[in-house]
Amino acid sequence: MVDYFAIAVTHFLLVIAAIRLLNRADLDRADVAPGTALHGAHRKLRVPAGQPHPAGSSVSGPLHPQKRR
Amino acid sequence: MFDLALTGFLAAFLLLGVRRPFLWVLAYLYVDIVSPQRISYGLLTTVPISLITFCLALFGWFFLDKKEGTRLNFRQGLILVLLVYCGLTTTGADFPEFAQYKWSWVWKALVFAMFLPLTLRTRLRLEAAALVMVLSVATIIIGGAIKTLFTGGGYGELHLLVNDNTGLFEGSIISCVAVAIIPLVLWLNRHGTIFPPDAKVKLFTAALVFACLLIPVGTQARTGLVCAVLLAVLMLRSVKNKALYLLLLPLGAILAMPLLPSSFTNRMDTIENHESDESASTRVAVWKWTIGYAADHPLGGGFDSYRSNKITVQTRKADTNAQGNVNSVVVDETEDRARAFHSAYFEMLGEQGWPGLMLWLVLQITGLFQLESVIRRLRRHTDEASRSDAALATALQQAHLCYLAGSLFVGIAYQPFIYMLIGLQIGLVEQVRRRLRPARKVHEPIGGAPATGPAPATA
Repeated sequence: MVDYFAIAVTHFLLVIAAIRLLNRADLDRADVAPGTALHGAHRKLRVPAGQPHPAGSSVSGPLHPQKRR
Repeated sequence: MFDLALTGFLAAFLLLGVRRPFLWVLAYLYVDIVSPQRISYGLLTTVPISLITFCLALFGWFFLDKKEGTRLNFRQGLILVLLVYCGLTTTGADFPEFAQYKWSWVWKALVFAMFLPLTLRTRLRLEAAALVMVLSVATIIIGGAIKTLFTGGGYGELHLLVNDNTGLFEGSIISCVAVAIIPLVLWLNRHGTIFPPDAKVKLFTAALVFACLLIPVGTQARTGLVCAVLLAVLMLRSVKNKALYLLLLPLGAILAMPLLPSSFTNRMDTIENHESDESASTRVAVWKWTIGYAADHPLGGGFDSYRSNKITVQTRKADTNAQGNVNSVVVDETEDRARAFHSAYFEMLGEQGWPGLMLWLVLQITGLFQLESVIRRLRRHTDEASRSDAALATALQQAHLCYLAGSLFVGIAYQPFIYMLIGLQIGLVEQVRRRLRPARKVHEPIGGAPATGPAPATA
């Protein structure tokens, strides 16, 4: 009974994960190409205003409009 | 009904793979860890699902997946050399039949370890593979932990999903793996995007970590305790609030002590005094035998070469009075033969000789260094992707160190789950390398200004 419970819980989560993966474009899109939608690092980068990007950072696309100011 | 549900689940998973072939890779990870063919009684027992998922994963990658930017890592080359070397020692093994049997699953684990990083092209794939590995192992762990809570477990008494003392269903192995995946569970909790962090995810994470810690208690495997202590120390490096951690850790240990079954604490006491325990004494005797065997067979005796050992074990047990004074020492002598290596290091030495052991050690140690290099490289990066990658590198490093400590006492040199972890490590290292390489180029200053992105505001 305990084993069935464990199997039910984990397999339910596996199914949910598989369904969510189906709908994620970034599953197959390589994040090496700069400027692609997947290359989302630039969206969350915290660069203080007036400062250049840290050297070697993954940022390569345009900054978020808010950060551009 | 159960069989039908399990078969339906696997069939659905494979069908979804038609739309996203990477799901076939995940299906193989699941099948190799959970072994649904072993927990099922019906259709799945008659179908070679491991082979089917393996072929589908290979087919999906070869014909349907993109391969740009893919390159082989040094460690994949090492695995290939190890694979060839193991194949050679199998042909001249001391026990050809047993060696052939072990080879039949070892080569798959090694080939998959080489193949997995090729498929892990995106960060989401890396996360998905880690998630499926964790959830698959959780299938074994959750059941074992609940049984431990109700019955207290016992050495060799805790039945995990199937009544089969091999692979991940063996007490010491699952103890080591259960502790080793804790850092991965915590990483998924904090940086997961498939199940983004929320209250439900946090609750499940807490429950799963607790379950992982209960497994060494339930199986009463000393390996698990060694791994747990090591992980507690290693996590000092990654926790944010070190002072709070240092305060809570001993407090938690003190509170947990009275709740632990006495059989567990008695067994853990034998870590210090191995001479009183036959199991521990036998290991030491086998290790001594292996060193002598390697002197005679420096190139290894092939898989299962331990079968030729014949050892004499002396156990000493002190009889003490209430004041703790020794009344007498009982010396017992037992003879044993064909005892397994009980250590991955000696397993490699006995089976693959010095070259095999060196290859295996280089494979493990270079992994730790590669991950350390990723951590250091991303240390100053503030973007979410880099922070997540650095945290994953730390988690995989901690998991691997736990494995290396646990494998001192368990023969898990070819454990497929560990090779999947190695596959994840290679995948992460290559991904970070690919991600940072173009960034470096575009950030090369041209006339003193960054090449891309807006110029820093000066006015």
